[in-house]
Amino acid sequence: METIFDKVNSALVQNLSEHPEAFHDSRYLNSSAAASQQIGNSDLFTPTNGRTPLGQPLPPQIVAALNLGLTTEYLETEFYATGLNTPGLIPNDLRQVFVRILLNEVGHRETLLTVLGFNSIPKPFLDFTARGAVPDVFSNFQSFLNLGRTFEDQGVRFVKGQAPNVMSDDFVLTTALRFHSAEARHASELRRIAGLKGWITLNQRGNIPAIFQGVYDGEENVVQGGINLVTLTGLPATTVSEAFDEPLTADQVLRNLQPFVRFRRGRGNIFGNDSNDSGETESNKK
Amino acid sequence: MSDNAKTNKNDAVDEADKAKLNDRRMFLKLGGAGIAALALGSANQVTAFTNPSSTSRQQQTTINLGSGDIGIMNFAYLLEQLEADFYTRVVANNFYAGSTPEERQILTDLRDHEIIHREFFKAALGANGIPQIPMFNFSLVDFNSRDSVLTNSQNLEDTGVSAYNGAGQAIVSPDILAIAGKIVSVEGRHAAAIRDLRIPRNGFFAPHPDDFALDPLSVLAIARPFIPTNVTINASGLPRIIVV
Repeated sequence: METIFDKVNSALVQNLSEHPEAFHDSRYLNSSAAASQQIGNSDLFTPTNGRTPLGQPLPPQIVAALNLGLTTEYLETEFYATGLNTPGLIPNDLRQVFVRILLNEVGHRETLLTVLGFNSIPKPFLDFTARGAVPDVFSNFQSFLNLGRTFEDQGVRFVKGQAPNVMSDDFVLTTALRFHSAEARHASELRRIAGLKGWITLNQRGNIPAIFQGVYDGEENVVQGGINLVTLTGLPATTVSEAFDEPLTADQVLRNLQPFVRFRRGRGNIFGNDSNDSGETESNKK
Repeated sequence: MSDNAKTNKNDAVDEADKAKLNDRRMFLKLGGAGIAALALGSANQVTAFTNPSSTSRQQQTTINLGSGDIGIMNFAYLLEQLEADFYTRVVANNFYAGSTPEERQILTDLRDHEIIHREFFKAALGANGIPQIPMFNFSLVDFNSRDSVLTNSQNLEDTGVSAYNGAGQAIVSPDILAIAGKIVSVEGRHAAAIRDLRIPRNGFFAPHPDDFALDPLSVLAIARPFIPTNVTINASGLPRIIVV
């Protein structure tokens, strides 16, 4: 039986590329690693993992990763822009924080659109109440704040999970890493404003509905590279879990986004007009 | 711990006389482990850190980071050692006058996180790891000054972010890239928190959509003032990369 998640996933992947298997195809990784080692032994500047030559299409697994990243940036930019344009929602002494985050997310979105070009997906339909789970998202600052830090914490985990999928291209990898730590800065700031630590303790989700637990599941890990760091250091699991952020897979991210996002269906709609959209997307369409 | 190691520890305190090390337990862990690691290297290295008559003209010790992914990991290990030592001293100094409970909590967390990162690299690298440097040079830091502590903390955290972001493209193993990714975002969380303590609730915590990224040699140039004068870091085996 096809679940809603399957539909979301298949709709996205259909739109992403001709190669829906790309997300999970380790052949790309293996070949790029082997190639980079060969280059690394002979090149003065070592190692270059490589870069997609000018005029050549991006590898499908990179297109898929970037389009999912673009989806999260569509979500975040509209979220912060809406919040900043809702009178009385954001306290005046915190507006600079949210303006800074919005500017950074717009920067991420525009870079992704530029890199993806005609491969970029259009902005999906967005519902920030998460189908009613957060009905007061734009009328209660605490709800807005906690949803924002949840998006940021997930953004960190998402990019982390995709880094190995884009490492065949130096420019894409480094750009992704730079976005990734910027998202971590956002997460830290919003978490602290919300009264949490800037870092994630165990898999604690804080003051958000239980349906968002998936954003934090797995963060309780204390074993890195086969080494149990609680045993090694004698420090408590709470502290050890804070010291490392954990990746999410594309499937996990899509599952977490499901209440917020409805993708457009079919390739014919990718670059077509759609009435249920803001003006912002018009300029994004190539 | 041997008598010899105890002597090492006392000399190290003299050499870093600016630091007030009240947290005895943490200091023993730091100093003892570091000197033990050095002792594994060679007898000459031990002499360099123990001979009381050599405090002004210490024997030079060269630490070779190695090459390839090992070199990158040793580079990261060195930076984590530096960060862990810095926050260990901040906490051992009982912070600074006027520190708030939140500031003390953050700086204590950062000490613990950086110690965990350091110990991870030490264990993961095993015999391929560089020795632990027993005492970094913090002569330029006033540990009694909030401004000095937080400014240097921000510098270290931003440098850590730029180091991992820049080195990413040089890493060959997807597994090691994944580990680096798990650490760099925590450094970014640290950097934002410290920046927010300095300039609260401003855009200062995340100044640019493209966060910092620097090649390893540039990062080492930033770290160099903190490296003890009798220690030379040989980074000739590190990948020479252009951060793009």
